[in-house]
Amino acid sequence: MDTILFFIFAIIAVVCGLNLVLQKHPISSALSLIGVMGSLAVLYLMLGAEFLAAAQVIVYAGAIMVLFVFVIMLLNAGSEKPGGKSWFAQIAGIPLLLAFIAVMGFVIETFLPALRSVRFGSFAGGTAREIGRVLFTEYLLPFEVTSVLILIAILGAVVLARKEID
Amino acid sequence: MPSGYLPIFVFAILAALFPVAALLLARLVRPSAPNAAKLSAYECGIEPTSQSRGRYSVRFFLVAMLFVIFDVETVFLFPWAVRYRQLGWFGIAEAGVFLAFLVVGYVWVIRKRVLDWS
Amino acid sequence: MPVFTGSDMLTLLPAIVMCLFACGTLVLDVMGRRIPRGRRWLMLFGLCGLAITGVSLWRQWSALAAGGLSQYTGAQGAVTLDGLGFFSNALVLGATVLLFLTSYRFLEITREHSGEYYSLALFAQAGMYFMATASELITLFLGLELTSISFYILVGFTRVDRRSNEAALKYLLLGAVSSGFILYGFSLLYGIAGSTELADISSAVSGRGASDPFVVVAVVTIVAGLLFKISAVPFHMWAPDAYDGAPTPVTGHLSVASKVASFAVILRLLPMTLGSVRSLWEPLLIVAAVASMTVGSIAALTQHRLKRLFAYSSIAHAGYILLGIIAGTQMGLRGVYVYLIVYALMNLGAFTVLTALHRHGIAGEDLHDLRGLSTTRPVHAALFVVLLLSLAGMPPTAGFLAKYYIFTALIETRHYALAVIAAAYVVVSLYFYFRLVREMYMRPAETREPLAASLGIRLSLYATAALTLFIGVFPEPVLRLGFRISGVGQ
Repeated sequence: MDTILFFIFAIIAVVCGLNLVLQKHPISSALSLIGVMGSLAVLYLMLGAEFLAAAQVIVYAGAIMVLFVFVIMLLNAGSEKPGGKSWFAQIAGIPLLLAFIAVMGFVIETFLPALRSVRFGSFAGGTAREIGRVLFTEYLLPFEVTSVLILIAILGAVVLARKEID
Repeated sequence: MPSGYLPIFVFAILAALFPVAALLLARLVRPSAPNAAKLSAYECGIEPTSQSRGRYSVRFFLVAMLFVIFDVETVFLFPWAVRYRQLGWFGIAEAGVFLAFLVVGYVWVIRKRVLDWS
Repeated sequence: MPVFTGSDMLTLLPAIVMCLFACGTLVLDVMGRRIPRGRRWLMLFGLCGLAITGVSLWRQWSALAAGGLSQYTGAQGAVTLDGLGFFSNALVLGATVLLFLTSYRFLEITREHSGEYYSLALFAQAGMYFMATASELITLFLGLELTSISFYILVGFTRVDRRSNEAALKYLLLGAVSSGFILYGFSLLYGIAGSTELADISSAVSGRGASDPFVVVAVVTIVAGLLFKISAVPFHMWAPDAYDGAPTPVTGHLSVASKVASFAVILRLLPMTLGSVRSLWEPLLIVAAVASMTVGSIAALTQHRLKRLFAYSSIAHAGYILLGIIAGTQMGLRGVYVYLIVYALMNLGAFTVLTALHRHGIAGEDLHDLRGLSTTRPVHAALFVVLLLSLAGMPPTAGFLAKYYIFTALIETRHYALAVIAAAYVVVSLYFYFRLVREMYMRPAETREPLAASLGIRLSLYATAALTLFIGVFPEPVLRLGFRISGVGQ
């Protein structure tokens, strides 16, 4: 059951990812990115990372995607124009891609037997409670540093966008 | 996968099926007679003069950006909220430090008149 | 439950001071709008913060010395105080002081003066504190990101300048990719060791050996990401654009402080943590070092924009510093430390001169802007020549000493080929530094507009040039201090 679900969502993620690259219009690309984010969230959930899955949906599929769509609107980006590919990319692109996949497949095949396979449901440390415990005891310093990082992000957003305003 | 998520999963499938089913049903029931006049705006609309995707002001972007940033902050506070009792005063102090930095950012944004639209 | 103790406080004290002063600068900026000459107070407030940071670093050092410890780990194993950290922090602190001193006039001229600038510089410095002292992957990565994000913003700080915006965007996009690489490597290291502590990772990696595919991928991705941070070839593409577009004082700071802190990360991660798989990363560093010296020295020959020229020169210098890590001996390590001190001094001095060239209505970013400097400002020109000689590695300046240490280490460890290549590029670099001298001394001035000199600019120029010369002639005191702080012995 878990394996079947894994393959379903893995395939959705890959197909959406391909669609993201192949679509001509940026809005369509952004929408397929939501598909990627959503199926990734399910994969996280299957591995036991419940909180991460929720955060993935809320922050990435929600907030970040809104931002992406805003930027696309802001730039008023139309469809991508075809062309501009070099002769090298046109000729060698697909063979190189196949070669890359073959090499990666070979590497994974060769080394995979040495690995322990993933068992779904064996990890139970991904709940919000558990993350709360770890975050506020073991990783106390990174937690506080993160707030500084967020403050810098606020500064950056304002400093860089302020140009247009005044 | 934790079994508690089964209802959400079923719900997600239903939510995906509902619009598909509704559109298919409507397609089966309705007669098909396309006509150019049907596409024109009448009584309740005016003819569009430009593209619907206009260019937005950068302020929208700024608000969206700040929204994402504070959204991330909320995500960090959530684990504290569910474990609030066990963490006790120490946890409150930690969350206080975390929030203090963001309050500085918030005050700065307000006083810098970034959110003023006039 | 572990609690936050006084000794944890001590390990974090400088970072806390920097963050508090950074926040204070922001608050002061928006609250004190109506104070006359408020911007001067902002700078003084920032300098005050730097002074207190210096005191707290000194307190840490003396507390360690009083306990007879060579290192101390606190904050749940996240931060380790040791020689490397103190060395890097002291150097970064000095660079930030010079940044504050030289920025004031520049920001006034470009009409970009606001509290965010000082605040971001302080936050970047806090990030560099964690880069230099973190002994745990998450803290280390957060330090890297604090520094990088602050620098992305600082590079794009001049809002009227399109080139500055473009530079910030390029730097951001490429920097995000490099952070991704580092994070990927870190996650593999965590997977290998089951812990984010560098000590655990070190033993787990040495248990697995250099033939383990995960170790290979982790090392390669981390090295690639770190080489980007020090702008070594082949990950240098961002440097000329970012350096050229950034406000000149920021360029100087970027080329010195962030590079020093990144070298601290490299030293801590590669020789100290992943020392057991030296055979994996050493060839990568050799290739990067040779390529950096080649591309840096040769590309600099044809540049006519000053900041691009210095970008390529700093790429070449990164190659020389990597040679010290490749040698790997005590001598090589000391070479790295000496080179970093000297590099910081001469590069900051050179960028101070470039900052002074930026006047009302004159960008001062082209080679011909130097014309006639010897007649209009003979003192500036002479000091600039000293700094350029040092950059080229000529005696009796400090640059010679730095290169001497590196070359000795290479010869000691029988890296003769590397030593020959490095020496050849010293000759090449002599030529492009000489181009600047020729412009200053052999071409008539194009404008009579005086240089933008403020007390801060003069002070930092005199200080860096004098120290460069002083170290070159009497190396003992400064080097002994550097070795003592970094703990690499006499």
